[in-house]
Amino acid sequence: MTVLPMDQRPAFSWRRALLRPEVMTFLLLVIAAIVGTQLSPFFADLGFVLESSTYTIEFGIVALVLTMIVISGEIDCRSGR
Amino acid sequence: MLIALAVAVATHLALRHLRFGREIYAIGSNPPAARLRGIRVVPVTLAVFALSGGCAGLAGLLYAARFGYVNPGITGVGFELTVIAAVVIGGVSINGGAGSVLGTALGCCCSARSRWRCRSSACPASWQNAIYGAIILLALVIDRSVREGGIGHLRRRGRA
Repeated sequence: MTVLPMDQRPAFSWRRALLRPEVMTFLLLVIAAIVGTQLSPFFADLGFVLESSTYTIEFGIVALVLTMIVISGEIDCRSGR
Repeated sequence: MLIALAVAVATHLALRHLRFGREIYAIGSNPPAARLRGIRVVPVTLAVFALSGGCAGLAGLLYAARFGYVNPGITGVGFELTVIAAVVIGGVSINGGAGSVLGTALGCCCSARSRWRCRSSACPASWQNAIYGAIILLALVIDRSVREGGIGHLRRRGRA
């Protein structure tokens, strides 16, 4: 990955920022939260959010470090070619 | 929660601001080029796996501290599929070379929310696994199509 000097970096663009995969995931999360809140009022409750978060801490820790493995291309998903 | 936050910040800093992180991106995007550039591919890869193993151990420790027992036959079964799906949802390229910690954190939140939603609506566990598998397959198809020049390229090749 090439790191360009500050003066050669392209200017900030909203279009490019909105096309980043993180933005899509964030929008997906917002949509999931809205749908969940519509289905059950307890879904948006802060106590429920914090309690459910504590049950996924182990999951998050493993996922965060697995990011490094996936970025380094060590998950082999070749399908015959 | 604080431990997970610390791991997230440390991973982000390592990937973005350390030479080690840059080497991981370089290895993921083109391993032969990284080797020619002078990056020691094997030690870096080994270090990444060692870090991952250490953090998996930490997660296991937290799990045991919370629930008071660990059954090797049940605990963590199917965990890897869910975790890979969360990483892929966060926008990390499954073929390597692209992705961020922020995306993974958002992917984890999305995956956890949907899992709670599935549980509260009594969705069978097998269906949850099928959904995660479908997400990974979809990510593979999209990643490959993007690398080969878009969906149109795949369609043209299908016609030929």
